[in-house]
Amino acid sequence: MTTIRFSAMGTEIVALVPGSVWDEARGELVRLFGEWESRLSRFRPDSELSQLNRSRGTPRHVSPMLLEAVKVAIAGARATDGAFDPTLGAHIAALGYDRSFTEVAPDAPASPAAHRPGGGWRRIWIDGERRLVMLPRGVHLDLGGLAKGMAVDAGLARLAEIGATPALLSAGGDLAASAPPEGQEPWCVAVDGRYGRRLVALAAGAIATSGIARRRWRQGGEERHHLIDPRTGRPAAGDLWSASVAATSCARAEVAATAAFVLGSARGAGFLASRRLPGLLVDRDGTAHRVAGWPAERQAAAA
Amino acid sequence: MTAAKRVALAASLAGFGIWGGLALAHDPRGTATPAATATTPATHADSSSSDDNGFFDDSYGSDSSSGLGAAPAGGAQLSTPSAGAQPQARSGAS
Repeated sequence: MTTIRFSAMGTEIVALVPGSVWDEARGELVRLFGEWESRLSRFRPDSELSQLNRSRGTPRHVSPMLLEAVKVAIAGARATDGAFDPTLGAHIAALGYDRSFTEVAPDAPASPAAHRPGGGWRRIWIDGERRLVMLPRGVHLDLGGLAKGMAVDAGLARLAEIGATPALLSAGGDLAASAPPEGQEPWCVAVDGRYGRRLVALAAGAIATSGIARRRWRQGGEERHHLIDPRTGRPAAGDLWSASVAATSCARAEVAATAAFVLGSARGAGFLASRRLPGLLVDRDGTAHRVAGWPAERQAAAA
Repeated sequence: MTAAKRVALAASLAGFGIWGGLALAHDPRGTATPAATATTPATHADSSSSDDNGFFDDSYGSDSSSGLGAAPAGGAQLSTPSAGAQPQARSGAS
């Protein structure tokens, strides 16, 4: 297996593919992630998503990609009873994360904007046949993590189409893999905890992690992070450091991991167990809870 | 937007069943399908998840047009790695 690395969607894309298809696989992935970023980035004023966010309550014709992303986002919100909320774009921008994270001021000035709950996804109107989407006024989509997950799923499917199997594809730590040939070892994945990493074997499917180890900043002297609690409109203040979830696709894993993080350890564990989604919930003190069949891990050697 | 464009937009919206440009949560013609796909969501064996529309089930959105990708046969498969296995990838906050 050989490794492909490049930057897209504000993060590092890593793929493991058979060496014989490296050139073609890299070309396909660079093109695919580039298209996802150009259409769905909320940091690019000319992206299709930004244009939709500026549409101010009027229907807008959208591409199949954006339509599908909005559909999946709303389905994810509904499936988590709103714990995953794709309509917090204005909220997180008001908290200071209104540009690519590398450009976010480490101590941004306080914002006069009042915190308000999310839930705008319930009022989005979609006409799938005509590819029309209408966002209510004041509702801005942020498809960040979900878009990365969907791009990973799409990328893995594309790799399969060109014969690049088995393969593992990761966007900033949210990953999916096709099954290795029978008799071969499954993929070995190091999952971040509070202190150190834990190894699990992934034969097929996806793992996504939502947590606050990164993308933190200060605003008006207050600590901020990017995982917003839709109930308050503020950064989630629960007891979790991270939530890692395995699912059949990276998009599903991303939705579930974000929801579990927002819900906190007790409710998050209940949510994952009821959906039979294996998860690893790590408290802020580093205590780890395995849920719904998450296997006993091996500790990774210190990096 | 000019007044003329607003009138034209309102007229076109009427054809779509959107009255006055209001953000409707339903579609009178039955064509608006938030979060719906052509695939019938699988029924989950656990009734406690019956309110999630099968989003997390393997068969949900398994048609080729879905943005959820093709689910692997048998679902996600996790296990304890064998002794000596070396990490090939990392999952963590990004």
